[in-house]
Parts: sequence; C-alpha cells; structure tokens
Amino acid sequence: MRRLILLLCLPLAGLGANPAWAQSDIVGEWEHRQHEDRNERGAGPDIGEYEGLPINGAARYHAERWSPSLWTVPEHQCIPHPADYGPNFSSVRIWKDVNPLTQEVVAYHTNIAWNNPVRTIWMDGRPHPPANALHTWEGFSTGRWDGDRLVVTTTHMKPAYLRRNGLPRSETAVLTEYFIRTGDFLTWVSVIVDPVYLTEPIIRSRDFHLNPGYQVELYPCSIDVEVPRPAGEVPSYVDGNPDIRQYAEEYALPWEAVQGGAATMYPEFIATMGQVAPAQEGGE
Amino acid sequence: MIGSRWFFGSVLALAMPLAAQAQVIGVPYDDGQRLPPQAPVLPPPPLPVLEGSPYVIYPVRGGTFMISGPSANVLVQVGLDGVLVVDTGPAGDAAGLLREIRRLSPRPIRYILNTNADADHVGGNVGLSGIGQDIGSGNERPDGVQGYGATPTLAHEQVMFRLLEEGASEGLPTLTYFVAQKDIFFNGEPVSLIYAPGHTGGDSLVMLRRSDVIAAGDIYTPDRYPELALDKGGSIAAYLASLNHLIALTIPEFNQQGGTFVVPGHGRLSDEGDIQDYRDMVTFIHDRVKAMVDRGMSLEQVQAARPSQDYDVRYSREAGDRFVAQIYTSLTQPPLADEATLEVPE
Repeated sequence: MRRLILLLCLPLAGLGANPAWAQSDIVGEWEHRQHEDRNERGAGPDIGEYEGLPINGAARYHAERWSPSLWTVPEHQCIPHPADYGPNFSSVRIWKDVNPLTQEVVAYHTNIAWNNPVRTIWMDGRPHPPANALHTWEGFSTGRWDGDRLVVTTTHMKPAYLRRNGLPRSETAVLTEYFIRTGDFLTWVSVIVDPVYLTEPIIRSRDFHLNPGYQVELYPCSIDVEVPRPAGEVPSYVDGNPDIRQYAEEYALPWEAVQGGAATMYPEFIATMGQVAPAQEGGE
Repeated sequence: MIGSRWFFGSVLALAMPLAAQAQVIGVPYDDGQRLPPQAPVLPPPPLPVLEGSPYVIYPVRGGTFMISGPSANVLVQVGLDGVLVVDTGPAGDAAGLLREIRRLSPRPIRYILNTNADADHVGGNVGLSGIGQDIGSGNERPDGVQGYGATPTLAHEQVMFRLLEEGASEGLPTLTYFVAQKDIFFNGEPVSLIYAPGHTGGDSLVMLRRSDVIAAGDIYTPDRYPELALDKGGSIAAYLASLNHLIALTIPEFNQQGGTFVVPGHGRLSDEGDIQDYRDMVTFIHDRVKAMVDRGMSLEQVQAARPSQDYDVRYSREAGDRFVAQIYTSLTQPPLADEATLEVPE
C-alpha cells in the first residue's frame, strides 16, 4: 500500500518540474573550469607577456610603463573586474527577473567574486543610452536569444584593462558575448572590439559547470593607505619597465613574439619568427 | 496512520520542484534602474530628445540634470526656490538651452554660476540672466518675495577680469570671490564654488552637497586632453592639484562607482572611477615630459619622443602634441600670470 501511494505521487512531482526549454536557460550557480589560459586566469600574466593578443603600439607602450604598484593607489584598490574580464577569473551566479504578469524575462544578472560586481543584462529591448551617459565597470548590456544561444551586447564600460599586466582597454570598446549551455556545462564566449587599442577582436571562451548551492566568495573591499606617497603621485615606469624583457628571456621566447600584435594570434606566425622587424611604437 | 515516512517523503517530492520555481520569480526594475544589492544606484535614463534639438538631458540625482550638447555641458538644479544653472553654453544658443531648461522647471532662473570664462561656458549668460530673477533676500521662498533685477552670476574674480580684458560689457559676473570658496544655499542644499585653477587662473568647481553632484568645468574633460590656457593663468601644477582635489571631494558608493556624480565641462557624466583614470593619464604624461625636461631635452625632442602616444589614439596626435607643448612650457617657463596669489585649497 505504501509503495502504491509513492508510485501515485511520483507523476504529481513532475507537475512542479521546470519545462524542457529551461535546458537553454543560463540561470544557476556556475563553477569555473580553468582548463584554458590557466596561468593568466589564476596567478596572472607576466610583465611583458603579450603574445597572441591583437594589440597595437599604443597599448604596448602603455603596458611597458605600467606599474603593478598602481593597485595600491586608493582610487584603484576596490575596482572590480570589468564585464569583459570578469569571466576569466571567477565562478558566477546568474539569476533572472521575470515579469509576473507576462512571464517574460526582464533581465539577467551576474555576480562574480573579486569585489562582487553585479551586472545586469536587459532582455526587454531597451536601447543603449547616448554617448555621454554614465559608464560603469560592467557597462550597459542588452541580450537576445539566437536559438539556444544568449547573445549579449555591452557598451558604456569604463576604461579598464585587457590583462592584469597593464594592457589597457578603452571606454569605446564593445563587448559581444555568447552564452551557450550544453546540459550542465556553460560556455561563455567573449568578443572584445576596441578601436583604440586593438587591431582585431579578442575572442575568449570560458567554461563553467553547474554547481547548485555554490557560494560566490565575498570580497568586502575597504580602501586603506598602505603605501605612503606624496599627494597626487601615481606610480608608473616613466622610461619603461627595465625588466620588460625578463619574461622573454626566462622562457627563451622570441622577443618579436611576446610583443604581441594580431599576427601572433595565427599559427602562420611561427614560420616568420626571426624574420619579423621589431614592433613599431605609436599605434601604427 | 498512513506510513508517516512515506507520506512526508511524498510531500517533499512534490514541494521541492515548486520551491525551485520560486527563486526565478523576480520584480521588474523601474526606470530608476535601481539594481540589486552590491551595485550602486545609477542615474535614470536620459530624457527623450526634442526633435531638432542638439541637446540631451541626463538626470543626475534628484533635481539635478546634465544638459549635454554640441558645446560645453550645463548643470541645472531645479526646486521650489527656482533654477540654478552652472555654465550657460555659447552665445547664440541661449534660446535652445532655455527651451531645455523649461522642460525641467517653469520657475525663474535665480542663479548662474560660471566655472571659467571660456566663451562656451559664459556665452549664454546674457540670454539667461536677462529673463531670470534674483531672490529678494535670504532663503525665502519665491511665492512671497518680490523678485528684482537680473539673475546674479557668480564666478571667481579672475573670470570677471578676463572677460573685461576681452572687452565684454555684459554677461559679466555680478558676484565674485577671491578666496578658497564661496558658499550659497539654494533649493534646500549647500552650493559651494571651490577655487580650482589649472585650465585657467579662474576655474571653479561647483559642489551641490546634498545632491552629491559636482560640476567640474574644464578641470575634467574626459572626451579630450586638458587645455592649459597658459596665457590666462593655467598651469600643469595647478591643474593636477585641482584634479586631485576633485578626487578628494568625490566619494564612490560601491566598487569605485556611483556616489558623487561629476558633470564635466565636456564629455560623459562621470564618477570617481572615471576621474581617477583621467587623473592617471594627465599624471603619466606630465611625469614623462618632466623626466625629459630634467634631461635637458628641447620641446621638439620631447614631442618627437611622443610621451602621449598611448592616449593620442583616444584623442588625436595633434591634440597630444599640443598638450605636451603646454606641459613643457608650463614646466620650463615662468608663469605668464601672477600665480603668487592663486591659492589651491588642500
């Protein structure tokens, strides 16, 4: 009799289950899998490590003068990872807002570790704001479904960085993302187009695994002066970092390769190493 | 009794999927764009643009708005006391600017504040002050007060001196200050003009304390390099000091964004996260030029070294060369204006 009751209850349990289309929904707690670009996403890239990135001379010039001590400046201490860098670093919680009258998704939100920025992806068709609207670290994002892929376009990001070794990313950049769910796996593809510092788009893919109940690590950042400096001093290497070649020398890599540039993204570059002229400065 | 373990287990099997559904139900956000916790409160979206108008009105906070057009930005504060306007755009544009202001309030323009004497900041003084009306005295509400005269125009005294030197006979400041700060109280909040030279010798920041909004004038212009008007008292040292003072006045709400909003002289609505990037740029270029000056390099040699090349791609090489030349001149030549009397508040 007890077994009969249980057997009768099992179909009723299915009434509360999510419908089949939820397999393409991205809501949940997703734990990152750092199988790709592990070193960059973990400990971080070396100073002077630019290979495989379509940077121009202006970006290289800026990075060669960047000092990690910049992070100790009070105004820099609590800056979160921007929208285009966030997926590199952390697991993520994604949730959504649903209009209870229409059951339409109004927005998705993401929350990652490292200063715990919250990002909103508007799904209601609202337009992006005009040029002089406030820029934020996470930008202004709108999304649409393309089949089973969520395509997100982000503008109005504050100036930030492509990598944690000084490579800049301008406020004019446009980020296009593709959220692709396959069962309990999420692939998050980012395409960064920056007309100021990149000659071609940067394309990154990051993988996540569904981990219900995962807790995003809290990061209560408080600003403290730990390095006394004269008022207004901002650290940099005025004449360029004297150790900029250390990465290439330590790993015995060709200098022209580690300087980056679009050509270094493609396998054909290997055949030209040793024959390439030194990278030009000045953004040309 | 029906087998309690089986019974309650069945109830649990029914309840769990329903509980899982509950977490995806949310509340749509209104146009105030208040985001979930751990995100700062951001300004509402801009107002619809009037047909044919070159202006866009960006609500900032409460009764404060940034009017952005083809020229300098204008900050407007509206309330029961009337309208306060920071900078008035170029001459000839006053009618268009006034039409935008009237979308925000029908009340008289009670105060005009000028951040500097540039034509794109004071050109509309005549057009807007002539239709305005001063408050009789104190902080009385306008309903019981007879207005008189034109709208008072406040600025640093250097603004008045410069306009007189340029031959202006109208649109001049009617109230000037020459110390570190000038305070008024309007629409329920303290309003301070804070002396902040650098672009010229007469620049002011305007801080609306309760709204937590600052009009920076040309001390902060994120869409272009700074302009150091060396023949009008500008200098790189004063400019950097004023820019850092602006950062000291701003307090972000969370994650180095939100909190104090800043209306720049030109460019996008900003907060401390934007200003620190701009301050870094100016500091980096200054430091590079100074290092070259200390090595005895000529201006031509410094410009050939292109110390601003990582930012020229944002603005232009020509603008970079001009900015580098201004820094070089500021560092190497005696000040063209008497800077001894210019106090930079700490």
